[in-house]
Amino acid sequence: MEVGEVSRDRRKLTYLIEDATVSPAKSLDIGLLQSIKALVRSSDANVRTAFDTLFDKLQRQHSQVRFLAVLLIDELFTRSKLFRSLLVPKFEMFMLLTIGYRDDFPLPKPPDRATLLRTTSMELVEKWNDTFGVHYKQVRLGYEYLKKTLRLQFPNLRAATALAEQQRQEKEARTQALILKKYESLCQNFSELRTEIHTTLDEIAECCKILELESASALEDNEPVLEADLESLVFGDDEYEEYGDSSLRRELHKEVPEQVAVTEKLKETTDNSALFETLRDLYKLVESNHLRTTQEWLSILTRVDVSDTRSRDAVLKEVIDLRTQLLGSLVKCESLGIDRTEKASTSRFTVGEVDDDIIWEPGDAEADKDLGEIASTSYAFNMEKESNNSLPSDKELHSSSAVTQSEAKKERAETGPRAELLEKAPILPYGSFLDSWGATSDVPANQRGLEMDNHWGRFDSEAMIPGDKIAEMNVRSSFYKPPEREIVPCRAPLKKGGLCPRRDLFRCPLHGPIIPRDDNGNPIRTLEIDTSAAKPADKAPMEEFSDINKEDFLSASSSSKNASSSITVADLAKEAIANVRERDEAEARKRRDEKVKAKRTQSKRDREHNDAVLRASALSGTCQELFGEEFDDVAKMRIGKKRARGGLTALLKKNPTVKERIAQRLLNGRARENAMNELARVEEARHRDAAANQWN
Amino acid sequence: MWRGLRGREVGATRPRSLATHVRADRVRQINLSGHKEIVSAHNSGINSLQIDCTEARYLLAGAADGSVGVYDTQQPTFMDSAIKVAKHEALFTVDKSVPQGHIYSVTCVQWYPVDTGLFVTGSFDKKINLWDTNTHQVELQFEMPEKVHAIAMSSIAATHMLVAAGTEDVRIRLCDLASGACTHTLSGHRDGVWALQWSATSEWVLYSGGCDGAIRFWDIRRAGCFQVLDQNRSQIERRSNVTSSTQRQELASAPVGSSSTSEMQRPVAKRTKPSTVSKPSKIAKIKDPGVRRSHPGMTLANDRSTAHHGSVTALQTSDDGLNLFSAGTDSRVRLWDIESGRNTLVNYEATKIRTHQGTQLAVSMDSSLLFVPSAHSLQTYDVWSGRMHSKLVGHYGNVNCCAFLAEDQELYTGSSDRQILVWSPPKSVTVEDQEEVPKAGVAAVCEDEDAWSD
Repeated sequence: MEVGEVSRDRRKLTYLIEDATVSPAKSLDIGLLQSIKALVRSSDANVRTAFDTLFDKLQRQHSQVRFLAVLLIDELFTRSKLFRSLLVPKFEMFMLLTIGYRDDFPLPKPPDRATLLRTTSMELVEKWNDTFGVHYKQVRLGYEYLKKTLRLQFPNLRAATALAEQQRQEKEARTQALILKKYESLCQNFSELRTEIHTTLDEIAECCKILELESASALEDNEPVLEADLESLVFGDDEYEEYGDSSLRRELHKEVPEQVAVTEKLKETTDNSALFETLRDLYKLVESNHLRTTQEWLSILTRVDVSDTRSRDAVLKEVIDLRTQLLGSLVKCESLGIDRTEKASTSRFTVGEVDDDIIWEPGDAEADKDLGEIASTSYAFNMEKESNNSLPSDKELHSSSAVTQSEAKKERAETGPRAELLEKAPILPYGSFLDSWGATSDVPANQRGLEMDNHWGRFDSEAMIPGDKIAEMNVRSSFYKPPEREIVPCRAPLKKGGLCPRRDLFRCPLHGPIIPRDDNGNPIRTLEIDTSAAKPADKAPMEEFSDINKEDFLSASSSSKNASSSITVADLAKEAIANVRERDEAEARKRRDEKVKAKRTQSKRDREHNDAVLRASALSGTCQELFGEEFDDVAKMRIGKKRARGGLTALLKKNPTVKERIAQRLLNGRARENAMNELARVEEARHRDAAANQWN
Repeated sequence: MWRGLRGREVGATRPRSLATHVRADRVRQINLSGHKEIVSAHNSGINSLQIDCTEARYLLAGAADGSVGVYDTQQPTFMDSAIKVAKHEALFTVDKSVPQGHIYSVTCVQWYPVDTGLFVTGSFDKKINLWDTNTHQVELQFEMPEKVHAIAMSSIAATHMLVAAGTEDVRIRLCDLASGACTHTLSGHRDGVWALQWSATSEWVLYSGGCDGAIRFWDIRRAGCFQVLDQNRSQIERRSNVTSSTQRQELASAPVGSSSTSEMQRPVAKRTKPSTVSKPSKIAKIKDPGVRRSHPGMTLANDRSTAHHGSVTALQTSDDGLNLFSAGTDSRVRLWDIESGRNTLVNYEATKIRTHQGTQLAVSMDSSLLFVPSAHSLQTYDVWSGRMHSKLVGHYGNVNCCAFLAEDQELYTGSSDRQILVWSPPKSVTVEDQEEVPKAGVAAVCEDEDAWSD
């Protein structure tokens, strides 16, 4: 029994490790890891098996496999003493396979995984050296060898964290000292500052009171509220506080605060304006000075670490009170129409300036616009002139500009002489000869950017190739290519349905000369159009060929003689058509219906097929990630291959610790999430399928 | 062990046998030392190591960056309390900053056999330096025509102070420390000489191995070599194991002199295995400096014979001086019978020797284990069967040299990864108990236990 169990365990472990090391992920599968650990823990023989298997994996020529194996080794190395004692004698080999410090044993292929493998294993070696170096000299020696002899850069995590911690503490101590100093000075000066702030607050309160009183006694004005006009606001401003819809007004007010303030100052009586002025000053003072200082105090008081907490709390309380008072006064001021945007503008604007601005600005804008127009037109003019100039000076140049700009032509429609030139421009294939197109300057012959000894004689570094020589060398020869011409199918109706697909130049051996026919294969009599369209069709550019209708086809592929023959056939056909047209049409309709029907069934079948494919792929691709974690690895093993089962679950169930149960629950949650995602994806895919005809 | 002690106490076993037994046991358990570390002061690979012959305490190391360091193997410089390891730092190093110091790789180092006041180093800068240990200065410098690969001094020499130097040149030069001049030139090799070893029995006999694959025996009092080892001349049985270990111990402890040792050995060899020795009297004559005879090695056929198919990288005599180990770049280690000059055909399996310079072999004190540097590891072999006993893994570069400290049964290896590693038997229980006390204070490092959190 024991022998059988051992061999089964071994087989299972091998499978599990195989499974765990083949995934493309950058971390181990938690479920697999759990079961491997549980299995390895159960007996020493399993540890040995695991070690052997993992070492085999390490020797595989694939960095990803090695990487996962290293992660797994780390898990076991930190846990099992036996595993450690097994690995340590082979530590040199281990480092060779994972860090690849020797040139003759480089790490295998996926390069990104190779670097990952190297950094990870170096971290691990460092970690192991920290924890187990005392007991395992090989590890220590290996680490020292890498570090001191090969001088590899270790991440040096422990030292780094220690250093960071120390730096942080130092910094904290410094700031604490600073704060303490500030706190002391604050305690000394607090009473003075407090009185100062209080006086400011009192002044603000006074001002506000006076203003309120005034406004209460003032007249009402029934201007429409929503009017954004400046004048109306000016007039309506004085009494706005009495209105029920003052909030709306306030909003409006904020939109054009400076004008309002200015106009207030303008239109108000002198004592009122003075009040406003002081209020504004106070506002500024409170906002820029007092608020900031209180904020600072607050931060100092909350951060300071003193033994006498009671005095600090008292001060803190007072500061908070002060701050709320200040904020309240600020709100009051704002409700009176004093805003922080005012600060900059009030000092600058005077009445005249405002008017000036208003008058001047549109003019300015117009001027700008004019200037812009002039600039743009002149620019365009210049461009035209340029192209004109370049035309006679060098015949190559103009064609070059045409060539380079032929692409640009598609984007923006060009007019004028430029367009004409573009039309004339030759179309050339792209090549490096375009670099020096139209260049007239001389070119240095022997300057390739390389210092070269010339074995074949004197080396003249100043040799120049004259520009016209370059131009001569750039002359390109081209061969005449006859314009492609499409050979039209015969399109005579066939007995078995459909049209004759034969393509002959002039005459179909079965159906006689090729004539234009309509969709049902009936010849069209196109005598008049033929003659008129005969001439220009030859000249038609290539791109238009697809658009050419049947009349043109005929003429394009024919001479006048052919045209005359087509006329006689057309006459004959005319009588025939008259007789059979109705019958034909009926047949054609029937056929069309059948075709549509067939198409529909086909598309239906397509859709069903797509559905099936989707379902299959969704099932096969995701069932593992959906349910694998839930069912644990045993389920996985069942799905994947026929493998030994039982035992593993029993092992897991034997001692379901709290930790395990929590892990299980977490895993279930994750699985549910995965399932939701998967459903959404399937839904989306189905939608896509409905839109597309064939999708596989 | 307790039984052994008891047996020794009551006189059931011979007094030496227990010690020998314990030593042999310890040597067989040798592995990477967990309590002793040498902090390498060199910036590149270690090429040569030697432990001094007088105190068996100071380790001399020559490195590829031209530096030479001396380490104390007994007294640690400091204890690394975090990992409970005694660290041995270099007592001093000399490098190219010292006047006349070596500028290129130091390939071989050698203590002066009589005391630790002098040592000799040879280097790729074609110099052989004699250093004063106390002043760290060069006392004497020999200029060689080519890069120096090997130097050797006889540990039993009573009448000369010669340093044998093998270079890339075909000739071996003997430099006299007393006069500061080159006294002899031994020519016979067809390529550079990478390995040199003085005989353990005669102060006049020198063994040399060259890149031409030949191992030659020289008697420095006479011209030419007197024997060239041929790998195809073999004897199946070994003949040196006739003395029991206790007898050998006694032999080793006897006053060492060329004549006395050979006098003692000859009858033993004769008496026990007369059949294997074809002409015992003749061989004895070779050893005997007084007898004049023509050298059999000088005949043309023998002169061409080779001991290895590649270069000979290392030579090492066994403790009793009867056998010679040689390693070659054909990845072979051979065991030779010195007296007969025959290959004993012991197959040391699976070695991998691919060096471009001389290496060092080491033999445990009772000639039971052979240590062979093999690529990145050091392999220990049973001398007589050739079976691999263990593979000592720990270096991350080619192992170039090794030195065995017989007193503590410790092995020192130097490698291209610039480390000098200590290999020792595991600590005994009593010592570990003492170590338990400071262990409690260290909490930062993890216990070496299973830690299955889930």
